[in-house]
Amino acid sequence: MIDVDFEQLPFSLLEEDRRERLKAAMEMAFFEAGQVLLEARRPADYVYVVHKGAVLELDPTLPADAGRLGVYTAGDVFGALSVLNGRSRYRFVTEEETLCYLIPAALFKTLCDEQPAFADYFRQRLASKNRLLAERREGGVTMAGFMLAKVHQCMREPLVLPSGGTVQQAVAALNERQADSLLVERDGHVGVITKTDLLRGLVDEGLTPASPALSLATFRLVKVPPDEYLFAALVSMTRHEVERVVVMEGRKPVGVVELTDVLSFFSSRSYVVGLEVERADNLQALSLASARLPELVRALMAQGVKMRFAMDLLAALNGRIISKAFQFVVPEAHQEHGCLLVLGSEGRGEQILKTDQDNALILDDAAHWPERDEHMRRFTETLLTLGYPRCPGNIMVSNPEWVGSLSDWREKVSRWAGQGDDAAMMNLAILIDAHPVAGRAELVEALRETLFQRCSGDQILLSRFARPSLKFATPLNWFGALKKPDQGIDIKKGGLFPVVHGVRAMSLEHRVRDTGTLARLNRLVDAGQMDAGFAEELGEAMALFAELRLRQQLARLEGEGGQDPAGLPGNQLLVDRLSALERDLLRESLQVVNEFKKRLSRRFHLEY
Amino acid sequence: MDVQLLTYLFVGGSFALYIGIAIWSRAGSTKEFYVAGGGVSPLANGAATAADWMSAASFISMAGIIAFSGYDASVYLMGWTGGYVLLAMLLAPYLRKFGKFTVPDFIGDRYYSNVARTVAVICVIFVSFTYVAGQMRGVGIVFARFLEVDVNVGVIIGMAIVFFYAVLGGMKGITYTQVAQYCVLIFAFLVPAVFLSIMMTGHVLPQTGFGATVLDAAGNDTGVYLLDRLDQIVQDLGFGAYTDGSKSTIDVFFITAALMCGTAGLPHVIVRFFTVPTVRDARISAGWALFFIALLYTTAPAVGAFARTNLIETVNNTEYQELPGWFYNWENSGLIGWLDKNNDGRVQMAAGDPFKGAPAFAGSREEATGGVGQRVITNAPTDNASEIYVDRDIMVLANPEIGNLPAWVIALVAAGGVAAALSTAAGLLLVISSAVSHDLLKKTLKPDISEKQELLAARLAAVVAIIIAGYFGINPPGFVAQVVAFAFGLAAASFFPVILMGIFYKRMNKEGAIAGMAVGLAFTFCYIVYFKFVSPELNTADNWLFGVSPEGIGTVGMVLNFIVALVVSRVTAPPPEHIQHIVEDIRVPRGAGAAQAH
Repeated sequence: MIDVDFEQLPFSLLEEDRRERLKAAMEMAFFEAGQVLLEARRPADYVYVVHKGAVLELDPTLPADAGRLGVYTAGDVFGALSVLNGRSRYRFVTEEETLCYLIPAALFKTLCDEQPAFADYFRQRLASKNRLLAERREGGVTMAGFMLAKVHQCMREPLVLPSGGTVQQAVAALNERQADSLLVERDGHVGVITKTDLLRGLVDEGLTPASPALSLATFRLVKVPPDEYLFAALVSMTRHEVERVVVMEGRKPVGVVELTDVLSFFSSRSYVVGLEVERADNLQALSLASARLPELVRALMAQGVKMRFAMDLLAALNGRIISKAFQFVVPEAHQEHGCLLVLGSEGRGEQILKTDQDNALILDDAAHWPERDEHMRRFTETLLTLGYPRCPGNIMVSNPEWVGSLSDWREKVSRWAGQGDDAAMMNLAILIDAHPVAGRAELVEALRETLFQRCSGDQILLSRFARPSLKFATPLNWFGALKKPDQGIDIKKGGLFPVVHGVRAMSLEHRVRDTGTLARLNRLVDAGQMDAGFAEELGEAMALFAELRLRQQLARLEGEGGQDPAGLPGNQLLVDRLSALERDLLRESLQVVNEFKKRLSRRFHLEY
Repeated sequence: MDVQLLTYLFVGGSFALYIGIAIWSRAGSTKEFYVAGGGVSPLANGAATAADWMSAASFISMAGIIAFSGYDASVYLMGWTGGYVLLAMLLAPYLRKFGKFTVPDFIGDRYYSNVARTVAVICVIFVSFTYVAGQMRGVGIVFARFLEVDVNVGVIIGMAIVFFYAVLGGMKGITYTQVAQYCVLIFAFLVPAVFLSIMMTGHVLPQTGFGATVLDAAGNDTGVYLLDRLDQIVQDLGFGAYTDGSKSTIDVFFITAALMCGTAGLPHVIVRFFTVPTVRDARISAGWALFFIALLYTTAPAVGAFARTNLIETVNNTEYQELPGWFYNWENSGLIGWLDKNNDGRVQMAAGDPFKGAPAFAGSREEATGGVGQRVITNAPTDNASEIYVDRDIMVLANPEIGNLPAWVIALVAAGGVAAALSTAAGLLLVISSAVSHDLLKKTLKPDISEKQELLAARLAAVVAIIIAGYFGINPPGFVAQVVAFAFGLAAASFFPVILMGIFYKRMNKEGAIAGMAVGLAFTFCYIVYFKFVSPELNTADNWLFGVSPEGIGTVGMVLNFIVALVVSRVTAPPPEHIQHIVEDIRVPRGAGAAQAH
């Protein structure tokens, strides 16, 4: 009796007659605990399907705990790649007494040849597994600073020509340093001389090698600070049609960034999206750039960019798009009297794919803006055309409730805090994530101060505020193993939300002004409210949830017309589609969530 | 089905119900993150508060005390109900506005002083411990009877169950579990009361049955009022009249006041008021809670009277071998003991204790059998005519059996007793563990303790609390009663005035508060220790100060506390400006002005 579910992946990829063949050829085998089923670098005779028990995948070249790569339990398949590649990469050992079905290697190969989809399934799993393993080994640091590279990572030491330096000295210095330009100084102003300038001087203007070079310098420079994003520097160059920017720290030149350096720095073409956003000078161009964001996300994921960097980048890009849209729609006179806020996950900088528009507007008390409602309505419409769906909760500037002067807002905060019901708590939670994207950022800081003054010392309010973080069960069963319901586990409710909201509540209590969950965690560690190790674990857990969710969302986008075949909502995570290693990581991360919930419930008196 | 099986079924079934509700309410992943207006309704919250409030002491012991002490026991009814009203009306709304969860937190912040906080923490821990001890005894008695084991074994089983439920189970904090517990316990209390009321007086409502005339065996009205009949019976046996008190009026007043003010600060109930979203909802649910509590509290006197009447009529002057089965069962549990002083084979009741202390048996029934099959008692007999010891805590549980009610009613009462004890014990253990780990360790003694250590300390505190409570549950006689008096007296004398003045008198400063607490505490402590432990033989009305018993002296300590605090605060510097602002703000309704930060 073969008790294997052939409706499940990967067997569901086989046609009916082949399933029958497989069924006929499979046999069951029993293994004692600690038995080696496949030795590293040895050929494999079978593909194994675990029926009962557990099998460990080990890298014998690594120390014991680092070498533990994965656990295979009931329903998992292993050894397939060993068969396909001819030999096993790792060692497979039973952890306990185990029953496995064996598929003979020859038959498996035949099946793979006959049905390429079946073979692809295993090869794809290998790719994603390798990436996860790589990330794990490097201890969380990945190759790609990528789009988040800052100017100082790519700049050259400035080559400064002493005052009174001659053309000859300039040429010599350029040759010696293999540079294209050098800096000069005049009356405290910095100028730049390029190779082209020198040529022009010698040929067109009849200078001699002994002439002072100063007269050739250009003093209208494009300057950037060292902590500017590299792509922003690139944008500046494009916009001003120059080939270099000077990096200034205060009034002092600290480096030069050449276009050629930047271009070689970026090996990918994905940065183009960023460029396009920056360059867009009308709504249509902005809309085109905005439509390319999913492509960028996919590229980032394919390159294995760490989730937290991807989030930062996307937050920056979305922020720029929204900010630009604001500039296009709102007359300039009013822009300086207000502060446009993005709220919720956008405010925390944690959305990847575009989410609903959650935004609000604070005006200073001097603002006079009679046609405000009309402008805000139009702004919301504009974002809609840019691909940001309406907020179902109507938390948008087109709703006058979310637009107001600073004193209106203060009054609102006070009212919400006093009300104390769930709706009011939700509003406070949305507001505390506010991040300014356009206009006067100090307005939101002033509002945040009010929020802290009113809420941070009120433990009853904080308790009510924190309560929803315990509202949803963690999808682990009593023994700490993953639940596997057919409709998938809701990773937002089961994992992301408790972490985000718990950290948010602690941030409200301890007056943390940052809005991103990871930044908040760091602040809480600094303030001595959380131990560093645990904060790190929480951050990792959150990144894993976000990444798993994103991957399934992307897969669905690629499916026909963006519809998932099973019609699942975006937060449902199908455990069956995860690899054994991912499942392992997910389980550990959810255990961290459980621990966090326990701490929250003590801290905020949630046990009553 | 016999009683035994039904009891397993009811207790097990009610447990399954609580656990089921807990799982259902936690696991619901279909819920939204926030649901406007979808919180717990005030009605449900009221029922949950009532379950927290009504402990095993209310469910099991109170009617028993009333049955044996008659009118004197009314101080508990008045004191505990009054304490609830005081808490709901006078303290909770303001503490809520102050934004502090626990009384120690309030006192620590309001008086900007860790000394004040520590005194409050100690009071809270002390009061809670005493209360938990009462719950353990209650659970122990339930298990002792229905598992037919010794009461001490029953207490140990109870400890294990409470530990599992409150510390490991994670089932506290779920309002609907508490609601279910309330339903079980009130049902369990009312059903036998209604049955007995109908049987004895023909009234459906026990509350009216209490004041009605008694029916005879054929169901005809005898025209004699229940209480008159009971007075007659007990006086015939040499007791004082059931409806007369032995305490002086002033003593009754002072004991009631001490119980009221002591209970008003009970931490596990205060917290309930903070879990409803708005002040308005909190008020409504306080009203419902009062109604739900009143259902039980107004029934208790009737139950006490029915029980006493039935007990005497069934047992007195009956041949031992003719007695109904429940008598032998309770005897097996060690909660009834019969010493046949005149060797006539009949049980005689009379005023006074039959022997000193709780019954000590020579062995099990099989090993040490008396002349007519009774268990042999080794206690030294007293020289009065009383032959029988009945633990008063068994009255509510034994009542349906004494009244010959159907087996399922008896099983239901067992489930009710367990529900009452569990709901309160879980809340109290939580308070103790957080008071020890958070208020005492983290906030006062060792501020640099890590979160993990804090959690560990909390668990340990809960375990220690259960063990100590279990110890008190096993060695109770008199002692718990004394400690209860001690606890409530100290609470009333120490932190009640300080809370009250903290809310209503902005000029009160930390010097005044600390001096007041110290004086109130020291006075009450010394008085109680003197009369209860140092010279118990002097513990009579003649020697008492103003005729106030040690149970009521907390009220005097409280008055002293008020006076000292007021005087000291007048001669020392006023509290800092921002504290005075906060105090003004607490009493101004929200929305009347911008809230002040501190």
